[in-house]
Amino acid sequence: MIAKVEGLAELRRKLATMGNQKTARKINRKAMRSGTAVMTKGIKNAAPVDEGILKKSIANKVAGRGMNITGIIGSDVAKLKQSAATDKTRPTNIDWLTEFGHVAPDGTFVPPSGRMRATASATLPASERKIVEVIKAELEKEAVR
Amino acid sequence: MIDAAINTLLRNASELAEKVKPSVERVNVVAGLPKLVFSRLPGTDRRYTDDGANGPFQARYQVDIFAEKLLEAVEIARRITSPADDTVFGLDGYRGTVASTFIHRVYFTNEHWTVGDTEVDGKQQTIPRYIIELIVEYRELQPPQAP
Repeated sequence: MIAKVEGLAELRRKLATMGNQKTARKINRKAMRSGTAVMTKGIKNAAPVDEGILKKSIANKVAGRGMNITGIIGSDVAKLKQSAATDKTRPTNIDWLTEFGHVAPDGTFVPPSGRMRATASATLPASERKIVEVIKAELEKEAVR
Repeated sequence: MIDAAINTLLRNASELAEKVKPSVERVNVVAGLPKLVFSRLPGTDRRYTDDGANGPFQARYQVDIFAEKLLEAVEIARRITSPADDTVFGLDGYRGTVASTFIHRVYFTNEHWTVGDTEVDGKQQTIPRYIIELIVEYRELQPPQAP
């Protein structure tokens, strides 16, 4: 998925040429965390609910080093393992199973929900707008300092 | 109508004919392999103007190929994702009219596979599965209006 946000490239250039690169990295990470949170909220809202285990398990994190970072959204396996601890027949990859479909015990195919992919596409522009907003606000704060 | 068009295109490209099924049907994917199941994913984009829906519309599909061996599934996937030319009926970049639907373009966005064990009828079975995701841009052709 690619969405172009006006000003993002320029803002990232500003970050890359900032005198204090430690602060630039901090701003970059903070912006990515905020953008990822917007998408996570959308994905959480769209998650199918039976017992609510999947919805509760959806989490995010920012991975990578320096200026090359990525926001990752998905189920926190540790939380799923907690629910599987009492019942060994429960799978710990229910996010994948519901998103991409799976084979049922009777051999029939359970179709994919595709909710995560659809929500990710729908919330991508808002997520990127948030990234721009945070970078702008943080750069202004730095300029005043 | 787009589902019928995709069904026809996948049947021709995969050369699996009757073994191509939409996921809205109950499809047994452990017997009579290879089998191909396609599912329409949520999020169809429709473009509107003051004159109404003028398209083109965009729909996403997930295609699941089940086979005895992963290599067999990969071979079927290659047939589907290859570019269309005179000798191969691939779908990459396909443009044409099928089942009253004008397809502007078909493009593939992602593909991956799994060879996981699944418990079927109380027995562990390994079912190789190849997944292709595609986007199709299309316009549904209107039937001629009565005067």
